[in-house]
Amino acid sequence: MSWFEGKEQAKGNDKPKKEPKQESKKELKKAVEPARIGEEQPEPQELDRGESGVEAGELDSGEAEPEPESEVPEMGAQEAEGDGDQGRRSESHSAKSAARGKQEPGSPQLPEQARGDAQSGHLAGQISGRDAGQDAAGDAGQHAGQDTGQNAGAADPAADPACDPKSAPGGGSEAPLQPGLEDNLKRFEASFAKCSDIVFRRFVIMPSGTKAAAIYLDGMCDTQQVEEAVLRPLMEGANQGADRFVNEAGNEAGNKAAHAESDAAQLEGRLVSALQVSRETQFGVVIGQILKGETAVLADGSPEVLLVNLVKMEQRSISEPTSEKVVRGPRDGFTESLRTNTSLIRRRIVTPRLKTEALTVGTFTHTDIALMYMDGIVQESMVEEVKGRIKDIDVDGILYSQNIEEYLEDKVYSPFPQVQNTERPDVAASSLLEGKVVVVVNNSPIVLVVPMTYWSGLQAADDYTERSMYGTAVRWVRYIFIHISLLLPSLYVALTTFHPEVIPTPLLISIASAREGVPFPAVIEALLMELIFEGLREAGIRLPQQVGPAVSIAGALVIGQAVVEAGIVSSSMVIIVSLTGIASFAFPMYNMGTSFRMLRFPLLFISGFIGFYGIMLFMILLTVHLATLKPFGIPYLAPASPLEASNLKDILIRAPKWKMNKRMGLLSGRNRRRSPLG
Amino acid sequence: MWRKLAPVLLCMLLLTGCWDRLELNDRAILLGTGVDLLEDGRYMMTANIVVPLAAGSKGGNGGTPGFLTETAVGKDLTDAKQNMQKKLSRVAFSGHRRNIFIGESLARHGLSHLMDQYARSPDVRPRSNIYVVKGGTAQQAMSLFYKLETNPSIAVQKIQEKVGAPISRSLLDFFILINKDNCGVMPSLKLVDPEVEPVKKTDNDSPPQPTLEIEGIGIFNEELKLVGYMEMDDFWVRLWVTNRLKHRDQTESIGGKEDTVSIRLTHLKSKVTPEFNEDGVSFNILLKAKGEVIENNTALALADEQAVKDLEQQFEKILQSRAEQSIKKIQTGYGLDIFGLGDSIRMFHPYKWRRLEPNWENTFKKAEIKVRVDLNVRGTGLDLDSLVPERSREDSQ
Repeated sequence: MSWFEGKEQAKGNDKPKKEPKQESKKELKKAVEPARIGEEQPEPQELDRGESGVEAGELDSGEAEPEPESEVPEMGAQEAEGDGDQGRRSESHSAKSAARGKQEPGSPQLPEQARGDAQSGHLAGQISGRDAGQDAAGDAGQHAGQDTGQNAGAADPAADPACDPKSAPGGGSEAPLQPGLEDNLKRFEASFAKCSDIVFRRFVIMPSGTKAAAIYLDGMCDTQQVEEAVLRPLMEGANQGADRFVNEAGNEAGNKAAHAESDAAQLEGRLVSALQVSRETQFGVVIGQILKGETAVLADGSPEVLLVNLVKMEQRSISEPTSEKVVRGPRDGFTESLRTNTSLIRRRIVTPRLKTEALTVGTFTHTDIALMYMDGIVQESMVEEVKGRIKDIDVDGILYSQNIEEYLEDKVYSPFPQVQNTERPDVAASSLLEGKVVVVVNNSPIVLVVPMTYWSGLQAADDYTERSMYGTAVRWVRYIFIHISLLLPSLYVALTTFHPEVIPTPLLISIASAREGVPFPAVIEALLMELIFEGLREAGIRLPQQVGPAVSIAGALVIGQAVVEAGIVSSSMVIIVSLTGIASFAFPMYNMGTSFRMLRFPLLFISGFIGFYGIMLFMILLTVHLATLKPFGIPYLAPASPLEASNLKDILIRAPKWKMNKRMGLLSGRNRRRSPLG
Repeated sequence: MWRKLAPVLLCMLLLTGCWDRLELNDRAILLGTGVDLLEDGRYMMTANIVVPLAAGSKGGNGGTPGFLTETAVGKDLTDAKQNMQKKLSRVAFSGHRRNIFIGESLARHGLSHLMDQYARSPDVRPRSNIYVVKGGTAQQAMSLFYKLETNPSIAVQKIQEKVGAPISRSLLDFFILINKDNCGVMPSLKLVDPEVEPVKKTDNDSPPQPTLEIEGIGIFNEELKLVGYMEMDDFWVRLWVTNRLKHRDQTESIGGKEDTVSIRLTHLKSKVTPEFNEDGVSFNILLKAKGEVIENNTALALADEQAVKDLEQQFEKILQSRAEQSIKKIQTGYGLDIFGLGDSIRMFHPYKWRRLEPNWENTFKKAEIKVRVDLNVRGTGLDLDSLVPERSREDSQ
């Protein structure tokens, strides 16, 4: 069966193809078992390297029987579109149901096995894979494995659309490249139609006169370097190897397939003087790499494309983090570049035990994600869990690391963040040493740390750069302010409207005199002022720089003075609200602060209804909720609850570094020792 | 679960009767109330209410009193309070009332039909003070404009604390005493006019005004009737014996009339030891104190240690006789054990107390009471010998 026939069949199978997909939803559990069988079966090697099982089949046939070349681009492209859509849709369904299955506590084996699949696929991908792009291929391999399993091992090449959306950025381009330059270029041009930022540069390799072309994405590669390291050596033919390459290519035209690899090898080894160079025959992969900024060099007569990594993107330099400031700590913060970020962490932890696994998420964005952890400290199951959750993400795009965060969270409808965000490489590094997993997402300066505990949201990097006594004192000041930010307005309302006998008499009299003539009840007054404060804060963030002072002056004057003098709001309320406002910024973690700031409002409301009683109820419920949160299986309140007494040294106090000599057992399992005991 | 629970919780929030929200400016904060007996047998309640606008820290509007006084008549306290509410635009709130004044006529009439509300109402602080106004009515005491404080009710409470009396909880103490020892005491206030009639020449002069002073205690018998007073000079003895006195500056004449020595007594402690004999009971009271000479108008040279020792002994004797006199006065005059001497028996000899208790008043009257004072003078202030030349004093003698 030629690959062309395979295509025909695929077309003909368009409708019946849905059946197995629907089955896959229903019989997902059943499918797991065959999937494993399918996995055990020796699969064609191409499956690993390739983008899907089907493609592997095609690849097979394609290599066996070369087809008329003219058919390749059109057919391939059409198929790609038609199948691509459908495949994506059904694919996302099954992925979702799989994800749902994972979260069901009742069926724990399912995700285990699915993940096992993913893992094997992933590993296989890595064996032949070259970089992150290939991981997605491994992922696709997982799906292919499931599919084949579902069909009881029957390798039906048409069953799965070749264009697994996850496979590569150029999704839908499954066929390998052909030796003819013009044909290849046509395919590329068809793919990059109406992409004005893709540059095709045709040239002639001298002195042999072989036609060649370079394709790159303008703005993402170092054009000067491309000239220096790629074009000049090839066009000037300064290198002896060029002759040989061209001669070989010219003389042995009839035997290209056999020698193509060595040809490209010649190019790689002798001609192109760039550091990172690779060869590729897969159309889709090449497209993907071009879109990531690599320069592709095609030569007539060779089915292999030389990919030269001369990526140079405009990027922000490392600067001080804006939302997590320290007085005496390091000043570098994460940037938008994934590599910069991983290197910032690597700089701090210099050991091969620091693992950086690469993942890609997003059908269109193909966002690179680096999963970092300390091998030997972190619990394997934790890494697998995080990896599994990231791999289960099926979405068209990931633009912020917070997108990933929402997929990682156990309880989305909890007011508390369950994934720690940090802009600081030192915080990320210390989390790694504690046995946590760090997720770096490309294009986001916010790095995720999982699992998060309540206390890590209250510990600032500054605690560790100051002396331990001062660190302890400051930490307690922070604890007090945290409670102020949550409780103060509610306490004020409850005290003045329900329990005035609790307030000392002179204070009561002065509050009473301040409240004299205020038209609103205390609850409304407090809600109003809190709302105004939140509005000011929100506006302050979005303000264009030029109008900043104007608004802050208006805010300070209107809120601070005029409102009180006009008798609309009592001066004591202004004190309360501003104190609360200040306190809510004492949180070292911004999103922890926001959750407390948010909780203030329901608490205020309840306290306005039923006073202390309501506050107590709310606090009890809040504590219960905190105690039941278990992000990634780690209790949110650990190590305070469940108690790990030796780790309270970093919560109640900030003990000297040498005294905090044990990791939290929940996180690091048996490897708890950080330094000699004593 | 939450989806089902949420409406229930919401209903509980809105439908339960737990809605006692009351804004601060809808409350009339009472700082003190007073009760007087009218001639027709009804009670008249007087209340000191904070006027928040005047009490505010805005200053400048000095002269306007920070309180207003309101009265109402009723059959009992609740009735009177309800009648008073008819005159008030805000809900009378007695959660901050620290002072209760009782007019003398009412005190003599007896408080047994009045005091229940003070213990029953959740609004009443147990740590309130209750005063009897000697020779006057509660209304008089409460309408006085006291300049130092915004409110005369606060003033008396602070005065009481400053003269060395225990922290203010005389209402609770009264209840304890009346149940335990069948007698009660409460601090007595007196309206006093300035010793010399003031002459006000200009509007800005501030001559002494009639004011309130803590005068001592009023003594109540078991029927809660006022039977007599004990003045400050005797009152402090009671405080000392009951271990309540914090400090006291005691001035005594040594030798000549003008040769006074003042000693500040601190660390005042007492120990009462009962002894049993055929006739009944006798008590040994040991009063301990540390002292510091703060004024010495005698020719005593305090640099001499022996002189200080002598002074100490003389003082001990004087204090002892004063204490014995005071106790005797009460013992024979009223026969009420306001010193809590019976406590010492009850605590250490509970079985004997059970036998003595029914007839305690008579036993107490007959009991022999011996007082011993142990004074330890530990300092003589900044000087040893006085800077006033010894000659000048000898001349004056």
